[in-house]
Amino acid sequence: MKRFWERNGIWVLLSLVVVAVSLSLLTYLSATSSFLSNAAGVVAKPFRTAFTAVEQWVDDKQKYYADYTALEEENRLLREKIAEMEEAVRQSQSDSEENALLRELLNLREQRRDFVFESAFVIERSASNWTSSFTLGRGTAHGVAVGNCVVSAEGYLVGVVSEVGYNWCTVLTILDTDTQLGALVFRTGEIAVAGGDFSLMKEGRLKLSYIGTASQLLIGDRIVTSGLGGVYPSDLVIASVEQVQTDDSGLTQYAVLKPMTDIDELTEVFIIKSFDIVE
Amino acid sequence: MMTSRTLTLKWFLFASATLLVALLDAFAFSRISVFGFSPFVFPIMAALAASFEGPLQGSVYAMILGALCDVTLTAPLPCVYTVSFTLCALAAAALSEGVLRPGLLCSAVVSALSLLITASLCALILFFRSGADPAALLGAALHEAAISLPLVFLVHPLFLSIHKKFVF
Repeated sequence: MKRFWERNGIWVLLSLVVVAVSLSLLTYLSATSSFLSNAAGVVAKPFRTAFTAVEQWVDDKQKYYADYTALEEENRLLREKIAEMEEAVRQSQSDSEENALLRELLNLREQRRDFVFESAFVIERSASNWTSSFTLGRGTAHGVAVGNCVVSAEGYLVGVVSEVGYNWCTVLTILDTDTQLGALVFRTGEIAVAGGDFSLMKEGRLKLSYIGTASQLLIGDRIVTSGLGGVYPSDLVIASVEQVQTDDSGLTQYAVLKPMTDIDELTEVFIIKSFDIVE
Repeated sequence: MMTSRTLTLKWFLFASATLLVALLDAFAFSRISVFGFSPFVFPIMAALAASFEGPLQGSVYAMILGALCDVTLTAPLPCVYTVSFTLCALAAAALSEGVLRPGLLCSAVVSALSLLITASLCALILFFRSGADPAALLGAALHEAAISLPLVFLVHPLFLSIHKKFVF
């Protein structure tokens, strides 16, 4: 055995290197994940689901015994917020009816936003210190594809599918450095780019770049997807502005954005498999 | 001289130990967060296996471990763990055979080196791909290495006990 390794060890090593590099190239060239990644994901899925279920059970038990006073206060604030939002809904219903009437008078096409959703549970959160991602228990078998947007139950954008297997997919969150989205400031209509920044990722924040020099951004402004290019749906809320800062050169501005939802607390999300928007 | 049966048994035990540590990582270590960073145990295993078993066998182990990490974990680039763990194994074997006497200190040094190699590679990839702030990347690399290093006290006795069983 020792002689085998002495004579052929270097060839074994080189063969393994060739196999590893080939698998990596296949991954890049393939629309879905490579065979090995897919197989590993399929095998690991039940274990990931089990681990996350146990973790969720423990978390639920801890929260059950949380401070009762804090829950009462949160309940009161939520009731106030619901009342404000109900008023806003009534106003928007009235505006929508007026809009439909005006569109009819002007002979314009009916606006339509059709989405096909697939609900999915988070089966694993990535513990990597270099990326921000999580794994869902849905894959090509459910019509999921790379590039599909993922939203929370409230409709806030949380990430984009980056890798998909048979019954699993990896979602890069909006905090990840690889995520870059065409964005729009909802109030002013300014175009910008929202994406992850490594310095902000650990703080749970992302960055709005390429803001015009005459920008009138305010703290609290909603940032939504622009939909330019047709790759992602428009008007998906990404985040809100938390700070507006000038970069080191002093010539351009950027904004620090706070996501609308706590990505680390997500358990169920919705994958937008396809969309049809008529403006 | 080790027979093929003994060699197979030895690497079966190493694989079982690796699986045990991987399960602990999935169930426990990955849930730990210190200043926003989680420990990463796999470079330590690659380094210690090479430190105990030599450059050739250690490199093969590290390469397989790296490939498994590449297909199951999210990384800045595919194949990054295969490459980095192999480098870690070679560096660890060189240090343990030429510079340091095998022991806990040697294991700690090679583990620290392998954690820094892996973290530095990830940081370099992010720097060239997304233009991330070098200071933030360096800080993250040091953070990850610092909070992962205590896990050598878990992996070292486990791997050492397997290595000692097959030393003639």
